Amino acid sequence: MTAAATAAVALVLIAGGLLTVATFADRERSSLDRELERRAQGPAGRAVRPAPEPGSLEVAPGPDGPGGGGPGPRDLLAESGSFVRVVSDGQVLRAAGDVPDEGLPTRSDPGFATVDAGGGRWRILTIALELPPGFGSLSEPMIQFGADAGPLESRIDSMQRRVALISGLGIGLTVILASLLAGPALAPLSRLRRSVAGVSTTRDLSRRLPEGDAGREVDELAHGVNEMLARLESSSSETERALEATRRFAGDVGHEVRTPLTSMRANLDAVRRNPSMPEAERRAVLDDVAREQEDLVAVLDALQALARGDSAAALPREPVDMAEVIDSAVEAARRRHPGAHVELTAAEGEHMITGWPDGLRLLIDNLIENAIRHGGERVTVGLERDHGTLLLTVGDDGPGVPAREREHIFERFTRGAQAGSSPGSGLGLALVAQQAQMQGGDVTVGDSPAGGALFTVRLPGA
Amino acid sequence: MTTEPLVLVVDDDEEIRKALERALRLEGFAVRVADGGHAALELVEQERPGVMVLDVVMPDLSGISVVSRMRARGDDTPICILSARDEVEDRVAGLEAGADDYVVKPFDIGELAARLRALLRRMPAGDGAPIRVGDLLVDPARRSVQRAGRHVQLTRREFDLLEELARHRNVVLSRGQLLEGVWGYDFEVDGNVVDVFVGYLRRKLEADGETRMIHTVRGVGFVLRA
Repeated sequence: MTAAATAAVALVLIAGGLLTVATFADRERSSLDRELERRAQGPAGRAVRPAPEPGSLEVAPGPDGPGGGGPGPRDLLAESGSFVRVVSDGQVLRAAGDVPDEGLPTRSDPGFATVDAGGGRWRILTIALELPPGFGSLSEPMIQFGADAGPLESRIDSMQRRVALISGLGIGLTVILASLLAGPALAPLSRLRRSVAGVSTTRDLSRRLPEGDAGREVDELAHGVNEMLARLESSSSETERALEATRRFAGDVGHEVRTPLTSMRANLDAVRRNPSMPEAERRAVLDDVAREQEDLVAVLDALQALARGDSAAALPREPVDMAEVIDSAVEAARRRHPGAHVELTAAEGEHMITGWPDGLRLLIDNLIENAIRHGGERVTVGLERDHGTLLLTVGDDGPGVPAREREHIFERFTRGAQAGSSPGSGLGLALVAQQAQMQGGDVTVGDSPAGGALFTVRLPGA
Repeated sequence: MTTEPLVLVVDDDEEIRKALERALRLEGFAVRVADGGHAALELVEQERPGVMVLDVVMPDLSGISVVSRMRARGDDTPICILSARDEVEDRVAGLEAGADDYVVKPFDIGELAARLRALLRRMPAGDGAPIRVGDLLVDPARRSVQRAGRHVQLTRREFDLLEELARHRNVVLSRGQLLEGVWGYDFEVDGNVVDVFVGYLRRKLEADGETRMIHTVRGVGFVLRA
């Protein structure tokens, strides 16, 4: 931009200079030409007279010539650097003044001409002499008025030099001014360019361009780029989070499977390597192995249920009576854990919702199982309707969930500090959260009236 | 009177603690267990175990930190790290911090027991005569190493490996020979603990841009040359 402005100014200066020089030269030359014309019409011109004798031409004698009376051509052309000649048919008949030594043509067309002669430049005005009838044996008589064009040319030359110098200075000044003025004017754009380059080299999408310290157009540009960066950043960080979650999940699965495999292997080796192990110890080892195997199966079941849940959104939904599902789940839990007290308090009648029955059963099973494993002795399951929403609650009288753990307890493979290494896949509550979300509801954890944990699932009614 | 060597098993998983406690007891060890890093550091002080089995990933204090703290207070109880196959970085960090060996979960109890028994056997002290190979000076009596006048800080197992190589300078030693001579493993073992420690030694001996002294002889083993 700076370069373009400078080029434009240079072009104008050069064109103006050339025009000035051309105009000056033209005026100088035409003033010389007018001077030559004036002389041709003046005494010097008139001094050339047809001679009294026919067939000859007399040129008035100069001061050095014979006779006298009136100024001769030499006087008239006394100014240095000018001459007058009479030529005819290539022959110089008479000449006066400062005639160049050689190179002056003895034939020339009527009118003005510029010739190089005698080491200088001359301007010549040639006039054809019209001899009165009877005079004429002379062929093509011409009179040439010449003037030395040297001083004129040198004036034009010096004019050219001055114009060139002024133009050069002008261009130089333009460059300096342009960089001085354009610098501040373009600085915001330069900063913008550097900032954008910074974003692309560091690949740091959290960077933002400076806004509000430049002109309106530049600020709007920066704002637009910043909005684009923000969108890019959020979409790339979402992808990054998803990838990170997947990586963490794969690592967690590895750890959850490897740990029971390690203790199983140690137990199996103990039996293998000690054939004479006491029977009681042998039984204890095998019981441990069986339980570890069950844990592994539970982890696999939960993983598969989670994977099914991820793809279950596409399954057809149907009307489900939640009261019936809960009743069945509580019965099953009582059979699985004969020692546990599971109470059910449900409002009368049907509690229909539209959903995925297997998923809803999985949700309730996992909540009850979680309460029995990590809670206390009594588990209370409740179902009530709050306007259009179904509230499913599972409470216990155990230690509860500390406030700081509540946020993370629904994440996969998260175990509360209280749970320690108590049994479980670490996936049960993650399954609950997944199912609640799929049914269009949510799950939260708080304190139960009995002092333990209270899980509340809200499901939109039919 | 109990003469069984004492093993301290440190793991945050109860099932693993229980299984290892029983299996190692049946292998003839006396076993103590700790469920975390802090408990392990306390028990080491109290019980002075002959060898330690240490899980790397623990929530309260990692196995790496346990190794570092023990070595920092001058405790050179042999330590065998338990790690998953994909926890390479943790395992490497543990060995670099001064652990002696590692096994990958799940592992064979017979092999773990054999390794522990070998780690329990203290290497006989050197004969005291410093060994010079080129600009390398290995002093078994003071357990110090200098390369071109520069003191090189080595963990115990690194020193043992370098001493073994220096005693057999210009002789190619197989991985099996090094496992037997340095770790006391006269049985087939899983893993590449020799290669890992050779890597550490090279890095420390060439820290100032010195020339390589421990060379790999492909298909055979390693050799120390000036």
